[in-house]
Amino acid sequence: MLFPTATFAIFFLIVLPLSWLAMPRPSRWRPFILVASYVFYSWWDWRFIFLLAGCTVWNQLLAVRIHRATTQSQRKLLLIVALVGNLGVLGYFKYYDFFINSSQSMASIVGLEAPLSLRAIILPIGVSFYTFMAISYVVDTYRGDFVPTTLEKFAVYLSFFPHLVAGPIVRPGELIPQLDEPRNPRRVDTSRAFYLIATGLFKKVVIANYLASNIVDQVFGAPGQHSSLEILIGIYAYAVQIYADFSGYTDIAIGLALLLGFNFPRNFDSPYAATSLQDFWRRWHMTLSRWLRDYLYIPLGGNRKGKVITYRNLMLTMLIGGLWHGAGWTFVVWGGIHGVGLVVEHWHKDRPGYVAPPDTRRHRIIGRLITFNIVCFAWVFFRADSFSTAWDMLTGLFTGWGSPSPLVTGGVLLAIAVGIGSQYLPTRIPYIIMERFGRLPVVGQALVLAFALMLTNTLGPEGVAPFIYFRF
Amino acid sequence: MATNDPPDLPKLPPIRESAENVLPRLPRDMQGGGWEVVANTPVKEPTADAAAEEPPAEPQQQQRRGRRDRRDQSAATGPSAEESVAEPQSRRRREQRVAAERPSRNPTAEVAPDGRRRPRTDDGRRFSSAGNGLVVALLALLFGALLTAPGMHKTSFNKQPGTGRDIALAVTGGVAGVSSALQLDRPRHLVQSVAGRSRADEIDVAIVIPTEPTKSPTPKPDSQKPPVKTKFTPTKKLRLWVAGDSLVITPGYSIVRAAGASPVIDSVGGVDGHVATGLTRPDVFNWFEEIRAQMKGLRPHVVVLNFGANDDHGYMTGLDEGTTIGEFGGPDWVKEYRRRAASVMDTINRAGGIVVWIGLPITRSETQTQRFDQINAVVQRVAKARPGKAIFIDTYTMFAGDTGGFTEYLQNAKGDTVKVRAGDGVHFDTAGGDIIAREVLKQLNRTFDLTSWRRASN
Repeated sequence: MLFPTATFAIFFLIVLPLSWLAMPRPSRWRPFILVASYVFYSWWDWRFIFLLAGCTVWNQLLAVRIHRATTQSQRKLLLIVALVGNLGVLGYFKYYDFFINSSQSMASIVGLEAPLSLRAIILPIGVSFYTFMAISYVVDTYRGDFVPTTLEKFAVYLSFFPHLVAGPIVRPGELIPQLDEPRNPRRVDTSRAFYLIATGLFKKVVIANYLASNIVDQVFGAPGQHSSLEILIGIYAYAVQIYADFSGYTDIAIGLALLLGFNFPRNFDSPYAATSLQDFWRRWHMTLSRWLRDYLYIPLGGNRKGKVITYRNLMLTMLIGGLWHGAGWTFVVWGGIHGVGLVVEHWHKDRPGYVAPPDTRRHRIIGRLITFNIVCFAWVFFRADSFSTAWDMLTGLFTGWGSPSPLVTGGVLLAIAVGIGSQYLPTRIPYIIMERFGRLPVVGQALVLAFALMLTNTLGPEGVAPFIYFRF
Repeated sequence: MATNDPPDLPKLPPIRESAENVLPRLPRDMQGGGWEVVANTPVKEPTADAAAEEPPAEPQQQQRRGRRDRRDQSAATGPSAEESVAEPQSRRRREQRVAAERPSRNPTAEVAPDGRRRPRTDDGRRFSSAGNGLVVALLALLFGALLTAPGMHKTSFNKQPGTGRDIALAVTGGVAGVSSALQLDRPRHLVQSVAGRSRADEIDVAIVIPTEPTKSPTPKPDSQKPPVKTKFTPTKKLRLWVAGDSLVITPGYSIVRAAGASPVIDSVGGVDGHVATGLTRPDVFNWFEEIRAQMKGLRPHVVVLNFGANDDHGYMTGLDEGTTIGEFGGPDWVKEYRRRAASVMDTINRAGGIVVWIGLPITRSETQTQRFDQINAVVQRVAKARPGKAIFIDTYTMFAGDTGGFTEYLQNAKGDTVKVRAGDGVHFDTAGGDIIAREVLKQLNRTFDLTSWRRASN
């Protein structure tokens, strides 16, 4: 059940009132939302719910044991067992074929026959997200930052349907306390919720789909057939497409949770307005960045063990972060480009006598231009289905100037301008919109939303939208 | 953001939110969550004026409310004043209005020093209620349905047959009627005409099928010269167009890439792939019309097609009056599908093009594979009846594993194991597309003279 579908709209219209009706008694609400979330998840494939349930029980058992363990060595051992379980699930479902294929290539180079065979494994939707949330639950328990809750609450935390398939990656300390007491039905930020849902839908259904089907798919499908201008605009279009698609989806998730009375953390903060790569990672997929920081970068030693170790940690974090996005070497290279960029930035700042540039408009513009173009360069590897396509894209940037560029249309340029321009809006604009919207009477609010829905539907893809894979 | 009131709060008259006075009565639980009794007195004026409107002589209540609101305030992180800084103008206006309406009232009552304070969001906006949100969502979807009714009706029409479609058609038909009567579909039509999609809501099932077999009234010289192979050169390139459903997209790009590497092949019109379309449902996408139009516009010498993956069911639109097709795979179904496949090929042949039809591959699902097999058999026969004008590419065996079953991985020409099928067990992965592209080019080399220009130029 994808968010921008009629099926989901009906599902949500049933769940929303029932959830608030059950809300005054958490003992009624929690089983209700658990069933609703499992129904939502089983819509893709009913077999997946066993994996989700198994993951829930496994992590709860170990978290409780970790909490009760008396010695540090016991706690550590239990933590390792828990992590092996989670990474095992992720590894099997997401990376099995990738590892076997890579090891076979390696083995064949040295003339060996790899013993394992490839098998077609279906990737359960959202597995990358909920295994990461489960890891943060056990690690927070291990660190003593969080006392394990009941199995029921943990199950709700892990499966709560707004965040289940594509995040945001919510931490136990953020969501589980919200499950303890009924949410106040008189304090629902509906203006923000509807703003996020409406803009999220428009970003995902209109902007992302339009760019994908009008330039990105063609250019990345056959780079050799396109002019340099088309390739350049195609890369920028992909940068906007992936932002609109992903941030749109998580915006809808945050909005839906708000309507149900729950606060999720923000996931995107105008990433293409970043003035450095470090700044970019504070604004792009923020809940993943902080997960990687807290559960990977800091355990590796963070920046406390000298410059060289810091650089190594940055590099490792980005490489692993890259692999999380997809089981392929192109994703590792994508992470590697960001890793190198971050290391260079740190190295530059660590030099003796480094003086921070003045925070002038000119410096900000230069910083943004450089950052955006490095990010776009890395996106080429993220989107390309192979290194040869990525290479064709990059060489095509230089070899095809002067050829006709029929794909670079006014509509494409407008969609790119809207996608990037929206990130430079002063924060008071969304504030004013939400504020004014909140003052409208109910019918007025409904009319504004209905018009937004009509616009999204009318400008969205004709017929059936292209397949969307939740491969992250 | 806000946390909850403790459940043991004293029962107090609530502070009414802006839109509640127009809400239908909801169960008590939904209005107050069981924490407070909702006052039944209707409030005429919404929003913050509520305080000023209440009888002034309620010191006890004011005091109690102050207590309660201080507690709220400690929970919420919004600005402490009754009105946030961002709305001084509107506040002034409201104060003026209140003062004008009730000069005897003390306007400062709403900002009394002990605070009649309403919780605010992080950025100082007003909260609303769950009931409000629910009603807005319901009404928005209702109004939204009226505004987009023609599109919804078309989407329902395009659904797979069954009870779901019947219900959807009945409901959206009614909504579309109301929408049209009230002219609520006009904003949509306006947006469509601005976006250049004026015909998007039309349901078009007309199939123009050539009645006579391939004899063209105005024969094009290129297509009428077999067995002499038509020669193409870098100055007179072979024009190739790729079209079909979602299955054609990945191999299509592989073909376009391969064509780009050849100096004598020119890919025209890119890859015209429409997800979830086929020959059975011209209402979803009218390929008969599209092919006719593109043959005129692009004038391709070769058309690479892939249809059928969405046709494996017993329902077709665009049937002639009185025609029934029976079950999928039955004699009537086969007859009609053959007619449609033949008409596509004839349309292309008559316009001087040759068809390269990519057959349906073996898939992970055995039952689906069986159905695909039946469609392949029909198309293969139609192609065979057009020697030199239609080529059928058998991807079924091409993509079967060592044991003859489905496989996601195959060895490529270099001997590397590569992923040839997408994770869904139906579509192709890039390496699979490349295998098909190689086969297509091989067939083109067999059918046309694509190399003699090299000898001539040497």
